Amino acid sequence: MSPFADYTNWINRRRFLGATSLALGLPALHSLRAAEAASETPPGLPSLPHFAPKAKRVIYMMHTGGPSHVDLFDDKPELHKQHGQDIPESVLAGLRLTTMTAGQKAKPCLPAAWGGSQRGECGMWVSDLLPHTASIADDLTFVRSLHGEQINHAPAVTHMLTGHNLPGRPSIGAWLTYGLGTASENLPGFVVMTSRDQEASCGQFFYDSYCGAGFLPGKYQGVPFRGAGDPVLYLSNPDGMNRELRRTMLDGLSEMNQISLERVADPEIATRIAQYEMAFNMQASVPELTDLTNEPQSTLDLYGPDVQRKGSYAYNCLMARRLAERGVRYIQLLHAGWDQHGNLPTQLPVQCKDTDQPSAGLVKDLKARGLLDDTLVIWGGEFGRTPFVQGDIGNPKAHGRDHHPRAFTMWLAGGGVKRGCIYGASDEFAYQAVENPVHVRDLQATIMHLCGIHHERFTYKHQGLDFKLTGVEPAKVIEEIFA
Amino acid sequence: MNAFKSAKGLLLHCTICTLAIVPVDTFADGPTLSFNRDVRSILSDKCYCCHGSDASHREAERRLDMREGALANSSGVVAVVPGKPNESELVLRVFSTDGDQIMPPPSSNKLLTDIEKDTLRRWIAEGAEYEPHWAFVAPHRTNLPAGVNAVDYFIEEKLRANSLSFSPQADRGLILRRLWLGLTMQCSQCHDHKFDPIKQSDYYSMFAMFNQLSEPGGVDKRFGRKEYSDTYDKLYSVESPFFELATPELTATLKAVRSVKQAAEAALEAKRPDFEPQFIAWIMEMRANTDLITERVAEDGLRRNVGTAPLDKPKDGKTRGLLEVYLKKQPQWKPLLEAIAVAQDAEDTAMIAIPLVMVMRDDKRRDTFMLMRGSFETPGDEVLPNVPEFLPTLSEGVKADRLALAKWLVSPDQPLMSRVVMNRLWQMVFGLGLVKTPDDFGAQGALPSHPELLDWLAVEFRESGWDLKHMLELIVTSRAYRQSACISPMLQAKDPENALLARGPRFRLDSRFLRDQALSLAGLLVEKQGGFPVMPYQPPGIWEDISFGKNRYFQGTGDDLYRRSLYTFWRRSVAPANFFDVPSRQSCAVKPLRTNTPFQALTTLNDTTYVEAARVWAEKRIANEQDDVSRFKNAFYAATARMPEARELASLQASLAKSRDHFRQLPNDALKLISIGESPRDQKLGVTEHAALTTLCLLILNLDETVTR
Repeated sequence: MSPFADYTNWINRRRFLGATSLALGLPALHSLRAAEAASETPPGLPSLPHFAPKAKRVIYMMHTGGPSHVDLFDDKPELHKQHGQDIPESVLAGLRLTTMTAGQKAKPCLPAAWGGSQRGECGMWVSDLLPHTASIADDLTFVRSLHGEQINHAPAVTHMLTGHNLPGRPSIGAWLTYGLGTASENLPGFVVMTSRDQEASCGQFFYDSYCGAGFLPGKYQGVPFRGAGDPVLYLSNPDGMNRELRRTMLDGLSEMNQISLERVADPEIATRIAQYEMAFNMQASVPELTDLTNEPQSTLDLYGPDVQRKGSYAYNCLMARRLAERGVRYIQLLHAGWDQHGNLPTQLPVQCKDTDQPSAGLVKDLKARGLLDDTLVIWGGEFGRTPFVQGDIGNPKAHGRDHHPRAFTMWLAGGGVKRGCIYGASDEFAYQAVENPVHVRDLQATIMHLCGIHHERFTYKHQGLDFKLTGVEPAKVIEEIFA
Repeated sequence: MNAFKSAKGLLLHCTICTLAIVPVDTFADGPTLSFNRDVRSILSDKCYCCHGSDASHREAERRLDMREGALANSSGVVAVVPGKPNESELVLRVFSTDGDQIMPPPSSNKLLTDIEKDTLRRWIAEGAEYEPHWAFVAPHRTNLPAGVNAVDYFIEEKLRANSLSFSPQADRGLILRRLWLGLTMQCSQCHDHKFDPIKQSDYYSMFAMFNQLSEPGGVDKRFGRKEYSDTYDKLYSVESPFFELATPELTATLKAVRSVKQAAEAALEAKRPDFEPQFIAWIMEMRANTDLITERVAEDGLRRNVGTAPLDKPKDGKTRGLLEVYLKKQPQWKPLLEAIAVAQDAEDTAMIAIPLVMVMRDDKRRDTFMLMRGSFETPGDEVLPNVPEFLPTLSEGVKADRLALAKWLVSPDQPLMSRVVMNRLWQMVFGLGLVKTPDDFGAQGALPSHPELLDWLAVEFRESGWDLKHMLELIVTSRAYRQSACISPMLQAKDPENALLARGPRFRLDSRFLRDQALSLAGLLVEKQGGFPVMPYQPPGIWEDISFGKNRYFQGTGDDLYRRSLYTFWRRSVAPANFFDVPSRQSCAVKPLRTNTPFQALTTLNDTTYVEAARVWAEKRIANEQDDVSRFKNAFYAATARMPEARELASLQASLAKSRDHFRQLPNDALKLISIGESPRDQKLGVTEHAALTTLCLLILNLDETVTR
C-alpha cells in the first residue's frame, strides 16, 4: 500500500471508528458518509460525563423581560395587608434599583391582583393566570429563592445563560455540547428558537451572545431555527435546483474534492466532503422535523390554539419536543414580552395566556412519551419584578412593576429533579431571597450536575485562565431538589 | 475483512498517537533546564494565582514569580534552596501526599503531573535560576549573512534540529493564491494581575489616558432606520465639533439653516400654552381607556410610554415622542412640526458637505480612580495617566497624553508592540502565529516557536520605519511560504499543526474573502473604494427577528449588491448572514474562527450571492469560450490557480452532461435558476445551456481548492 493510501485509510477508519452509534447494516457508502459527518460533531470530551447523568438533554424556556414572581408564584399576605402603603426602607435595604424607579418618590406595595391558590399535593401557590401550569404543579420543582445582581435585561439574560453579565462567555448550551457532544446525527447539538408576545409590548433584543460559543470553538454556538422563511439559514436549494440535481452536483463536487484529497492529503478536505454531505442530509431532516402532519390532534391540543403558527411560542414548544426526540442536546427557547413597567394589569394576563398552556403542554407531552425522565426542563426569566408599583398605584391601567433580581421564582421538571417540590422562599414582601437562596450560578452548577458534570472540574483555558460556566465566585449544587 | 481493516487502522492510529505525544523539542538542547522554556509555564499556571504578583490575594506572603521571593526565609521556611531540592519547601509540598500539605491544594482543581514535579525538582537542583520573561525584554536581532532571507534562515535551522526539511516549492500560480499590547489586562480591572506583573493601578493609569469628557462624533442614530425612499447620504450626519472643518461658505450656510431651525422650534414652543393642556387630556384619556392606545399610537415603542411618560417634564424623551404623535394629528399644529422637519433636513444636508474626520479630544481630562474589585461603586485611590510600571517608562518630562503613549509604543526599547504586530501578520499569512496565543504574550501565553525569528522580524519592522508592506513582501517571498502544502503521513504525525513549517500553509478563506472571490470570478465585484456601508442580499427577517421589528433591513440595489464585503453594513447585535465565521463583535477577538460546518456549505451552495455569481460567471464563459473544455479550463484555473488534470476535466464534463439532461427535461427549472439575482441576464443565451453551466460554476465555487488558500 502506498503511504497515501495508508493515510487516507487511516483518516477514514478513524472517522468510522469515531462514530460508534451507527448501525453497521447500512449500505457502505452511506454509513461512511454519516460516520464522517458525525465525527465533526464529536461525542464530547473523553473525560465527560464525570458521573452518570440524570438528564441527557435540556430544554430551557427563557422568558425574557422578567415575569412577575409576585403575581404568578409568590403571593404574600403582607403585601395585601400593606396594599398602597410604602414598602419599608428596611425591606429595600439600600439595594440598587433601576433608574426607572430609583427616583420614584412613593413605592407603594402592590399585591397579586388575580387570585390563585395552593395547588396539588405539594401545595404550591400558583396564580389563576396560569391554570395549565397549576394543573401540573405536582410534576414540577419550584424554586422561589432565585437571586442575582443584574438589574437590566441584557446583562441579566447574559448572566443567566453564560455565567457573566458581559457578553463573550460561552452559553450553557455551548458548554454542554462542547463537553458532551450531541446524540443527533443530522441536526445541530444546540438549537435556539425565539418568539415574542403578540402585543409587541416588549423592548429588548435577542443578542447573538445569549447563545454564543464565546471562546469555545465556533461550532458549539447555538444554531437559530427560525420561525419565518428557512428554519435554518440558506437551507433551501435555489429556485430551479431540485433535490435530485443537488445530489448530482454534490456527487460531482465530492469526486473533485476526493481528487484534491489525494493530491494534498489535508484532513480538512475529508472533513469538508463530510460537511457537504451533512448539509444535504439536513436539507431533508430539517423539513421532516418541521412537518407536523403526523402529530395527532390530541398532541397538538396540549400546546394550545397557537401551535400551528410558525414562530409562536406554542410552535416552538412543540418543536422543542421534536428536537429532544431527535437527540438534540440543548434546546434554548427565548420568549420576550414580560417587561410590564406600565401595562401590567392589561399585559400580564395576555402574556400568561400565550405561554401557560404551551409550557405545561410540553411537560405533559414529554411525560406521556417517557422523555421527561431524562430531559431537564427549565422555566424562568432573567429576574422577577418589584413588589412595589412603578407608576401611579391609583391607575391600574397604566402602572406596573420594575425589574427585580433579588428574589424570583423559576420551575424545573424532569431530568432528575423532584416532582412536586417547593424549594426556598423570599421574605414577607417577596423582596429578597431569605430561605435557601439560590444564586444564578447555583442554578447553573445544578444544571451541570444533572447533566453529569462537576461544574468546577469542567474548565476551558482562555487567555491564561481556567474559565468555567459558574465563574469565580463559589457556586453550590442544590442537591435538595434532586429526585 | 472489515474487522481486520479496522484493527489495522486502529493500530496505525495508535502508532501515530505515540509519535505525536513525544514533545518535539523538549530537552532537545541538552540537559540544563531553561526557566523560560521549561519552568515558568508550570509555576505560572499552577502557583502564581496565590503566589504571584497580585499582593492582595497572596498566600503565606510567599511569592514565586521572582527569585528573591522564592529564596526568602519566611518564619524559618524557605521555598527554594538552590541546588538543594530536598531542603526546599516547594519540593516537599508538591511531592507531599498529605491533603493539608500538598501544593497546589486539592481545592484549586490544579494538579501537577509527575513530569512537572520532576521538572521543578530538577530546576532547583540545577540552581533555580530565573530569567526575565522573554516578551518583556526589548527584541534584539542576530546579524545574518548577507543575502539570506531571515524567515528561511530561522525556519530551516529549526527544521534541521527536528530532522525535517522544507517541502518542494509549490506551483507559482498556487503561491499567488495564497492589538494592542498583546497582554491580557482585563483581570487588572479588579485586582493585580495573577500571572504578569501588571498592577491594578497600571490598568487605571492606562485607562486615564482615554478618560476624557464626552467624545463627540459618530453617526446619526436614524441611520439604522432607513426608509425605502431615503438615500444614505441624507441621513448621514456628524455632530457640530467637526464644524471647524467646514469652509467659510459652508459655515455660513450651516449657520443660516440652524437659525431657521431655531426659529421654527421657537414658533412651536410659543404655542405650548395652547396645545399642552389638550395633549395632557389626550394622554389621560388613553390611560383611562387602554383600548385607545392602539387606536391612537401606531408605533410599538411609543405605545409602551403612554402609561409612564412624565407629563410634567416636557423635555423628557417619552413625553416629547408622544407629543409629536399628538401634534401630527392636529391640523392647526401640523404645519409647525413640518417646518421643523424641513429645517432639520436642510441642516442635515448642509452637514453632509462637511468632511467627516475622526478626532480624539485629549484636552478635557476627567479624574480617574482605581475601582475596587472593578466596581464603579467603590472607587479607590486616584491615579494619573501612565504606562505600566514593569515596562519602559515614558520619556523624561513628557506630558502623559495619547501622543506620548503613541511615541512610547514605537520606541526602540518597547518590547511588545513590534512583536505583537509581527505575530499578527504571521498569523494572517501562515494561519498560525509564531506565538500561538496572539492575545497573550504574558506568562500564561505560549512561547514563540521561533523566538529569534520573531525578534528579527520585530526589529526589522521597527527599523524599516514600520513598513508593513516591506514585511509582508519579505515573508511571502520566503521559501517557507512558497513551499507546497501537500501533507505526508510523517509530517501529519510529527507536526499536525504545521508549527515547524515543513510544508506550506493551507486554510480556508475567511467568509468575507469567499464572497469577494465569488463576485470577482464572476466579474461582478465593484472595486470602488470608500463611501457609505451597503446592504447586499440577505435572507428576510434577520434584523427584524432579533429586534422585534425595530430594525428593518432594506436591501440595496445595483452596485450596492456587489461591493467588497468590507463595505457590508454590520449591526453589532447580528452579523451579515453570509459572514459565517466572524467573531460576535461583543468582545475583542484576534484569533480567526476556522470552522468547517454544514452551515457554511449551505451558505456557499444556496445564498443568492453565490448562485448569482455562478450564473453570471457561466454567462461570461459561454460568451468567451467556444467549447466545454476551454470553459472548464478557464474557470478552474481562475478559481484554483492551476490547470485541471485530465481526470478532473472528465469529472466536470460528466457532471455537465447530467445537468444538461436534467434541464432539458425541466426547462422551467432552468429559467428559474438563471433568473436568480438582480443583475441582468443575457437573453440570447440558450436557457438549458446557461443553467447547466451555472450548476457547474457553482460546483467550482464550492471546490475545496477554491475555498482554501
